[in-house]
Amino acid sequence: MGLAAPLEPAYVDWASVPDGDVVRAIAEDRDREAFAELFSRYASRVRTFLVAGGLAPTLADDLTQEILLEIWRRAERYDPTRASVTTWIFTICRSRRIDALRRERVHLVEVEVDPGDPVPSHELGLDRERSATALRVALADLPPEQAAVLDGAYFAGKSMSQIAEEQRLPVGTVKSRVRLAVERLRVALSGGAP
Amino acid sequence: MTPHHHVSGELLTAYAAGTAPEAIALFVASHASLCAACRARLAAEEAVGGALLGAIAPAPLNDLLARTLARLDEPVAPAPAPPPRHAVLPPPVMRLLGGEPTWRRVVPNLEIAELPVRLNGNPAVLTRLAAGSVVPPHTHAGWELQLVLSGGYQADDGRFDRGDAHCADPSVSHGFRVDADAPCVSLLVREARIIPKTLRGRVFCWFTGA
Repeated sequence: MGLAAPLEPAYVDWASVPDGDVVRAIAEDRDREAFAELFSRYASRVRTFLVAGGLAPTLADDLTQEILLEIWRRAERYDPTRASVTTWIFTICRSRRIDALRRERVHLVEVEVDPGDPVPSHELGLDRERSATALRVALADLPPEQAAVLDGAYFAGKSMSQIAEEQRLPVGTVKSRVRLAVERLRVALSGGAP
Repeated sequence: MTPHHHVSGELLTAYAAGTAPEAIALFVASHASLCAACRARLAAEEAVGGALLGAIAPAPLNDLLARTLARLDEPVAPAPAPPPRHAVLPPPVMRLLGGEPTWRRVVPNLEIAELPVRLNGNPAVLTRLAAGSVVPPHTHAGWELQLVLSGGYQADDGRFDRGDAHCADPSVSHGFRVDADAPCVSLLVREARIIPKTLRGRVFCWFTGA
């Protein structure tokens, strides 16, 4: 990681510190300046995500605050071998949005690994931040019609049939566009290996 | 043991995007808790969500930072304890149940335990079929998702053991035979009632309320 030696907090130029080290400073040192930096990077994105998902602006403000507080409180649970910081924040947003919308759901179901099931070794060596960068590049290169269906699914929280109705497309077309997009991004994520 | 039958990409995307109904989310999470390959697929789907979040241009946010900083020292509720370990039921199911399921015998060879989760009004259930049971051929008015948790069975469309996800859309007609040496416990999530293909199947459905 970037910070080899402990530095006086006053001398850290947080703006140039990578996400993973900022989260580590929050987890290990309860560093408020590090938190303010992470806030400036992500709070407005989190809010935009929530509003795109249909939350009223005042509710989105409250929930953004809750999500950032959760990052502060749970920073030590962030595992850089499992996800990039951005992906980790996305999963927190997703859970909080489900919680806030609570249409059909009462419980929040999360994947917890069965104690008898080992993690495969090839997953452990992945550099999640580097893969995330590759993924962002691939995302910017997606054909617009594929990017549009991904936006609908991930941001607006719409089902495939809702997206199909809105974009006046057959459901099969929406499904295959999502699959094509995810497949392209998955290849980018694994470093170009098909 | 590595499962051979997995959940579809469509279900994984719905889970990753947070749009899956609760019962489907339970099914996907339960399979993933037993399947390293699907955890990796799910991590990739979630990374797509992360990349989309990262692609949003940041914008200024008035006084939200000051209001959040003022709350950093608020007391925090402790994180929930992990669910009790169970030899058969995966952690997402144990998280819902908190303990042993309450089995109810519906026909001599079938016991059912309802879970507190519904899909279109149909409760997600755990099923326990006696060793050697035969489930008559049937189709479905909607999706049927079955996750094997212990024992195994031979179906027209393959062999299914612990961790295997058996996903049937309305076009699939199938029946299966549970192994002779052990009962089979599954997590079953259905979108609609099943449609029996034979008289014996109709009697089975009438008894089981399926």
